[in-house]
Amino acid sequence: MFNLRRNRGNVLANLFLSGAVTVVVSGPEASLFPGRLHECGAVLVHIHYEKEDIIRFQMPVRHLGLLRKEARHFKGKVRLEKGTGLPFLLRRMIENYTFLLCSICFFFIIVLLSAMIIRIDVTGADVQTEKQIRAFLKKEGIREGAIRFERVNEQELSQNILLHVPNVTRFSLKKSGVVYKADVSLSKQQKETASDRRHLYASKAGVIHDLFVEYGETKARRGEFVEKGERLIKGSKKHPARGTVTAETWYKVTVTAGNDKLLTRSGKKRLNVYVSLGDKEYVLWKPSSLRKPFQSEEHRYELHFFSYTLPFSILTVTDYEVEKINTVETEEEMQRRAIQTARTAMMMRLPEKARIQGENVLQKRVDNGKVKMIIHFQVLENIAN
Amino acid sequence: MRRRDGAAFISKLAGLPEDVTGHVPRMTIIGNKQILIHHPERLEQFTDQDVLIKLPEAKIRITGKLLEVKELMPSEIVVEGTITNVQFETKQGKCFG
Repeated sequence: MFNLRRNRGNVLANLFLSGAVTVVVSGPEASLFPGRLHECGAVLVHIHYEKEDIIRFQMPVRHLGLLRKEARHFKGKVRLEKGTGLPFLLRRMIENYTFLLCSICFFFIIVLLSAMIIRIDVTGADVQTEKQIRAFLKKEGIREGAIRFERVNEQELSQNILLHVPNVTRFSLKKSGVVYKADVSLSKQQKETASDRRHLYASKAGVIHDLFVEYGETKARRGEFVEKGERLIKGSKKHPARGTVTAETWYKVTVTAGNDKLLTRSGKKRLNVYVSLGDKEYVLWKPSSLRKPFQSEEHRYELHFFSYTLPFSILTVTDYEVEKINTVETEEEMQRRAIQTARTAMMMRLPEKARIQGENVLQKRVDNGKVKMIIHFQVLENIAN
Repeated sequence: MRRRDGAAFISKLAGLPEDVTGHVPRMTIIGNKQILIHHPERLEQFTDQDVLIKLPEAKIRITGKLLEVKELMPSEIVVEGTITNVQFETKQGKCFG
């Protein structure tokens, strides 16, 4: 019984897939007509007796030939009323293509608009920090009006913000619909009382190069060597000392440079595009893979419909071909490179207004194809604190 | 006919119901709403009050109200509606079901 029911289900499903036609038969022998068709081997469904001598039924499109054969011997009228099933549905859809097109367009526009950043709310920051954070986010591509499919790497972003924006101790960015909510915590700034900053002291040892005193009494002279902690400008309780003392300070940097094998991108790349649905990934576009070793970069683009995340996302994986380059440098070139690296490392460490005045190589040792150097830097910077 | 007889004989020998092996008509009536007939020969006549189905050795006349042949397939006929009477008509005489 169950088997038979399943069989009938299959027949009906086939009828839908291959398309069916509603036939209206009228005439004195209409009630005999389905039986004759049945004898020829046709499948009929929903045979309905409308009224005297009118019968309506559905039959698959592929059996229409049998209907025509029978209709030749039939004295009454045979009329095809309408088509049902998938082929007719498709045709109707193609006829009403404007509607279909508009719905697809609507979907894409909504997806596009859902990816747009309409507003960024920054909470917990003062005006200046907020401005800095907004500027930083803009540099990262998060600005009002931008269309962004890629998910924000929150951890990386918050690390960068902590590094680049002063006074920020915690930063979190959450996407809720088309609004990004940035929550910021600032470090509590210690109030500088006048008594604390009454005098200016040397923060480092050095030889004073230049003095600029806004208020206070100078306690050191140009060309003088000062130790760390020495008083430079004396102020009063009412008017704390203000000014800058530029001094020459010294730093020692150790660097090593060797003939390492460098990996460089050769310029060849392959873009693979996947559609990920749940945990599975389906290939949308996959060119031939690179023969040589390569590095891969992954980007995931999420699609939203209003605030709902669509269950599928687009994943692009770009493979960059890399080549090993054997650089054979002479000792002199290696030295130059070592000094350059040391200089860059110094610049990173120094405050913004500091300037490297000179450098001296204190020690140089060539060992096993590597150059080890100790370099002494002379730096001009403000030491008054 | 001969083939059918042979099949019936074998199934009888094996102790199986007759309809398992051969194309013997089988009828299933569900309440008074639906009748399924497997392996009919042809649909003779059809109106909304009277359906006549020919089987190899008999005819079935189904009478009722608002009858509708839901499916008419080579090996199966499904009749739906309010069934009031199912009647066998054999060559020898009439037999009421």
